[in-house]
Amino acid sequence: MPGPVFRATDDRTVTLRPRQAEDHEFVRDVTNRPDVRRLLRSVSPKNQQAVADGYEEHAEGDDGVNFCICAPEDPVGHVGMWRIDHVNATAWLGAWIDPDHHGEGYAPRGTALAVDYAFEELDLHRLNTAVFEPNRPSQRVMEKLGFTREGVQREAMFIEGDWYDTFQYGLLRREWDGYDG
Amino acid sequence: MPGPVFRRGERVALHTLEREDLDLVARLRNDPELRWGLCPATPESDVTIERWFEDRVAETDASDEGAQFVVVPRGDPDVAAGYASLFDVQRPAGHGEIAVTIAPEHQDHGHVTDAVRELVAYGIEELRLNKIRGRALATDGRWRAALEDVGFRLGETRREARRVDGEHVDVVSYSLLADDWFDREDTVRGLPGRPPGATAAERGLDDPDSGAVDGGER
Repeated sequence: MPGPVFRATDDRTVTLRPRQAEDHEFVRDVTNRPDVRRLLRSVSPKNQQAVADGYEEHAEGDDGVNFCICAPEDPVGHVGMWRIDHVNATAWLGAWIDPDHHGEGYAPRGTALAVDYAFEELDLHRLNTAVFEPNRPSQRVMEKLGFTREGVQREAMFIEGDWYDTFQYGLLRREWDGYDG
Repeated sequence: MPGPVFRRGERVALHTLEREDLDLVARLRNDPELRWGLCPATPESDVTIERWFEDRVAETDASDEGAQFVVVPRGDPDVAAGYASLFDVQRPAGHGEIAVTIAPEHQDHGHVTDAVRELVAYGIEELRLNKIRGRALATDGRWRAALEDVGFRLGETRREARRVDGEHVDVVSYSLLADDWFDREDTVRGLPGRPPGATAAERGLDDPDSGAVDGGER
């Protein structure tokens, strides 16, 4: 069972719940998938133990938050923020959705809940995200949410034997008026 | 039940190596017929195997790039047939060594060869290694054939480097270079159907006055 509801869409069909130990198996099963990890740039196998250890080492720190995106109680993805900087009011944001649930709108709706949280509760001013050039679906999600493509890191990623660009996106609080989808 | 798939080959898939797979690893590493390959000539206890699991399999420190997998036949996805390793990764030289051990009851030349192919693709295409190394007992025809089938070339011979079953045996080393790997006809550089290179417009680099660049052109 996933954790308790932390934020939910108005219609309650998509929820953010704290990422917790019960989710390790779901995270392991999705993030090792070749089609997912290629675009997350995850190049090392992560078994159950590594997912649990990695979560305890990195994800539970003071400068990060992690949510399981659920629909409304079944886990369908993950969204996290890290490098939360309260002086400059910025953070990095990243999300993935289980490919078995792609195309069902969970990426923009789940990410929008995290953006709401970042601006309304964490009082941030700006969110950063980076998307690799072949990852068109994520670019569409970020643009749909109102992120601006601010820059390109040329040939920053080596994927399957070749070099790909990384696009950098930013969203300011004054540009955010929620996601209506 | 093996962990999730990490890489999918034609005949086998490489899965994550989970704690439940350690019985298989222990059995293969102690097997009187199999253990001569690369393992030390000493018994490996559950304590040794547990330490190996903690240090080498479940570690989350990215500075050690080695990887351990369970080899699962694609036609029989509930069966852990053996395990496969990439280890001793050297940077910036950019090479690493591979090894594959398959249980006797699942030995099938195609499985070993396909596991080797996936390890090579992983090392060269995903980790950007320049060379993959392999070692074999000179007498281990099966493993040598698998390496040769994937395109490894024979390197030096270390004469009488190991003591095997009452005899000193030569060890031969093999290697495969990234250039040779990418020269193969069935190797594809980059993501299938997604050649690299954003258009200039996508990069925001086009000169609006030139009129030469149209978004979507490659």
